[in-house]
Amino acid sequence: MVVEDDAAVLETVQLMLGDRYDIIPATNGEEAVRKYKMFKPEVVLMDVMMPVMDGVEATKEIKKIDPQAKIIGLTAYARKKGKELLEAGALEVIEKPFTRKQLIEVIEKYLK
Amino acid sequence: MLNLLRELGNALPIPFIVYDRKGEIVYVNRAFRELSEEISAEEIVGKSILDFVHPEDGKRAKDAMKRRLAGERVEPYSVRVKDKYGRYRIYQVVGGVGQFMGEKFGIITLSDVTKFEEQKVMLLILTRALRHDVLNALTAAESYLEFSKELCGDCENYNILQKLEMSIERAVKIIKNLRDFEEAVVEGKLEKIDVRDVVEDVAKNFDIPVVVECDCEVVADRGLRTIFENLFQNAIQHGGTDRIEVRMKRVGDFCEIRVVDYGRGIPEEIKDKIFDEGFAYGKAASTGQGLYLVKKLVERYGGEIWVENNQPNGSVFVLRLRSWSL
Repeated sequence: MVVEDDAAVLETVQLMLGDRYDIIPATNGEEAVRKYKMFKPEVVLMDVMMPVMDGVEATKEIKKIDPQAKIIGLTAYARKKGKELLEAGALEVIEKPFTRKQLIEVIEKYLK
Repeated sequence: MLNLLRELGNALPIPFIVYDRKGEIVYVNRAFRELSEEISAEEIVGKSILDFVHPEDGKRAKDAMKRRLAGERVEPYSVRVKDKYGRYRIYQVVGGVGQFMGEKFGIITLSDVTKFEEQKVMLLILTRALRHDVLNALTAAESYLEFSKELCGDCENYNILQKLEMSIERAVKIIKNLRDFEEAVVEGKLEKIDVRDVVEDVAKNFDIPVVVECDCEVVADRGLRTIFENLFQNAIQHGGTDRIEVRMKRVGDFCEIRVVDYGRGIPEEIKDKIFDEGFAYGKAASTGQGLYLVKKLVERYGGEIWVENNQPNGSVFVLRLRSWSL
């Protein structure tokens, strides 16, 4: 699942990963929590700053539903917000802008 | 004599407070009485300074007062003080220690920085929003570029895509510099930093050997990391050095840190311009923000930076930062 409110970023992540994985898109934290319950995705790529519910809150909610959830943060605020995401339960945080190679490497690491 | 001092204190337009070892107020001048709640000079004596500051700031203020009387260095800090209308305003506190008739006392002055702090918060919100949106746009641009390069293969326009890539990288670097600068300015609190630890950690991100000689503890914050990142990056990118040495020694109340490289050196004609905002030089020119940021950070730490020639070749960036333990 890719959780990202910026339409262009969401589209490009889907383009980058669409040929390798089935992607469930979500545009805010609340939608992410709802879709997590429905689809139980293997890995979640989670943006931080989003409307309705931000990435930190969404990570906490998903971890309550499934403590084993594999969540990877995507952020422009790697230092501060990244730390908050990790404290909320994210496995690691990738700083924007990221490359296709970076995304695939991190996803593969947690799919194993 | 005491009356004269009181008169002088009252004539001073800057609010100040004198307190004893117990943290109790011995004297406040008229400017303080005017800014704070309605209270007479007699009533105020014997009260705790903490009676006037916001409860959340009490511990910080108390610690600072205690440390100051114990002879430790205390950096300027902010507290909220209730004004006569019951609203909290933000004051920057600067203090010192004195001795009178065998008794040690502390003195603090307060400068109203409320407006400045409010503007700072507004600016912070704006820059963060801007940074977030620009980085998202660049993330998308970089991804589309990656696809374009794949589609292009060895096509004749590949060099144009490479130039586009360099432009995106440059934009990302500008945004990251802005972030470093914002963190350095906004976080405010300076602390004890072990220079050797920072240098060794930064060096892990570079492919050339970085030799560190001696160590120093200085007054800084995590922006010190940004300083070394920029200096190392410059030495490699502009100077083409194959190694860096970082030497440290105490010079009076300062720690002198010499970042030595063995590259091409800096031409004499640009030496006095390299720390200017936006100054870029040569084929490897970057954003022109790196050394400007370095200088601003060093100034914020109360230090100095300059550049010298290395022998037989290369440059030496000399940083003088305040030692932590004076």
